[in-house]
Amino acid sequence: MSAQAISPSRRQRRRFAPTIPLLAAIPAIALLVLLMVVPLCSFVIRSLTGIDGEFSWGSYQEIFTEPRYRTALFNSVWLAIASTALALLIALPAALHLARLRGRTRTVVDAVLTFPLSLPGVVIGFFIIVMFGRSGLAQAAMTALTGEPGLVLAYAMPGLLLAYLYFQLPRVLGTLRGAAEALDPDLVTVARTLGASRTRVTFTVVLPALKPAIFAATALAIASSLGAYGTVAALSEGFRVLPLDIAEQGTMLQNTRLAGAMSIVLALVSLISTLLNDAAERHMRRGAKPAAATAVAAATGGRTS
Amino acid sequence: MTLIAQRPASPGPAEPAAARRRPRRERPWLTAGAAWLAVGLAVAPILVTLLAALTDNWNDGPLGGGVTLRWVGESFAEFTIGLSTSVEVALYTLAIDLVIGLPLAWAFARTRLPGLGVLRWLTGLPLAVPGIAVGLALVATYPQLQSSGMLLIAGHVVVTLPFLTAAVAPVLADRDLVDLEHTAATLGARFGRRSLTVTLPHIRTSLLSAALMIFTLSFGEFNLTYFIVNPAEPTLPVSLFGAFIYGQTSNAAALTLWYCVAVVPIAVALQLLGKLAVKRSK
Repeated sequence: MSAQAISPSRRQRRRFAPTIPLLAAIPAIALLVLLMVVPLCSFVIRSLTGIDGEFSWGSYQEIFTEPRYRTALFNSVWLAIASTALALLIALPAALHLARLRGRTRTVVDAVLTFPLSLPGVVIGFFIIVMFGRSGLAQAAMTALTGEPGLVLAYAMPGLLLAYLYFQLPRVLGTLRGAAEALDPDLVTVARTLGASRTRVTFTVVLPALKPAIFAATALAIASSLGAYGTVAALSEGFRVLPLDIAEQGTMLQNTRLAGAMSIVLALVSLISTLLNDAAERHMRRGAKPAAATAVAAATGGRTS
Repeated sequence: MTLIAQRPASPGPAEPAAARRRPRRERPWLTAGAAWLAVGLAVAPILVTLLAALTDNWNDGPLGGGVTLRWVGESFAEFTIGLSTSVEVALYTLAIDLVIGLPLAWAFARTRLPGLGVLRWLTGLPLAVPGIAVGLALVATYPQLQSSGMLLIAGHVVVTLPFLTAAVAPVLADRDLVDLEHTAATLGARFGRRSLTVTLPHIRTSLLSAALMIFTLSFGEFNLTYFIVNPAEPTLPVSLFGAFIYGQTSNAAALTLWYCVAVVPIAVALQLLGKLAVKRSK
């Protein structure tokens, strides 16, 4: 009945709809072509052009042969992975707890946890400086306690790792929370009443249900930390990541060829991470057992052994 | 059934029994601890920034030289200059996004043509490419637009547009909405009337939250902004960066505090809207 009611209206819709929206989208298409396609294509072309205007992979080779740039790329990648792992470690249990919150506590906690999303990276850099910088709180506390200042962490790798963690945490938590809230509490209850231990329920019911969200959060976190510039620009003294070199080559040294090549390498790394996460998620979904079956299996497995 | 049969082999026989003997409250404690750690991590730097902004001489340690409102007062002038530029840029960005983005979202939601996949990919592209790359590419291609501030708005439009289409296109594709519009059309309502009385009320919540999102993103944008901004008219994040690099810690802290004061209302509004949307969908 309802299908019959919908199909004629659809046919009529098709008669007047398609051309008008497409025409209406033309300004957006023009803008995207002018502001994205043209600049990025010319950036790519320039990165593949040698000094005499010939085709050359030189700039790309330089990134992988010059130790300075290779280190920066390596730092970017492992900093992104390490901070994402840290963020997941905190956000996974936290999301499970937050999904259970109700009432006013929930409102306040929500507000506090989403607020950092509206802060620019530079501000997060400053946060690390004011906490762990040369005249930061940690230094003052160390001086007061031991009489001499401790190690200054802010401007090197530990400071950067903390800063990345700070801007990733709300992003990862946000992605995981939705999944944690969508988790059917009955499944956990069923598995528990059938005799599965909490640990067992966590690993066989809860975590598998969250897997797609975990991959999505990982992809998001890695991509956002690979491209982070403001945070490192405010912080780093000596510790190099690729965005710093891109900025330096692009502005001060006016070497757009190398800056372009570096940007493309960075974008490709980010793309590979996204694709890997997508593939992993799809693989999981194909091999996924129905959640209810795993809940029962978790419980009965625990009991029969 | 086979699943159940496979299960017993994996765990050791002693493990579940031991788990059952463990006190029940153990795991909630772990998850609650992680949640409060996340809250603590989010709040601590803001509180320390507040402390630094109120400290007369931060180099003598927290509250060195006593409490003062000097920094908060002195940085206010710098804050308002950056604020007006940032608000202006964010409003222009939002206006252009709505004018060109709503038709685009409409096209995404209502048409099925082969080129649309490419277009969708193109709209999302600025999210995949690092902001610095977009900024450098823009300034290398259109250097003459930088001093007028047009390049900055153009850059912000490009990076915020995907958020508008992502929020609005799914709601526009809603089958109920399509049927309602069709009913209105058969009853004789023209396009303008349909849009204002049927479509707009239906997409109101997601449109509003997308608008707030775009405003916040443009307001706080730095990675791209730093390379395409007119140096004579810095936005708030750019002047914050200047204060962090060259200024006094307390002055920078006070400016950061003002920034937080400026974004709190937007953040609160976004959250309220999100809750409204959830309530409606239920």
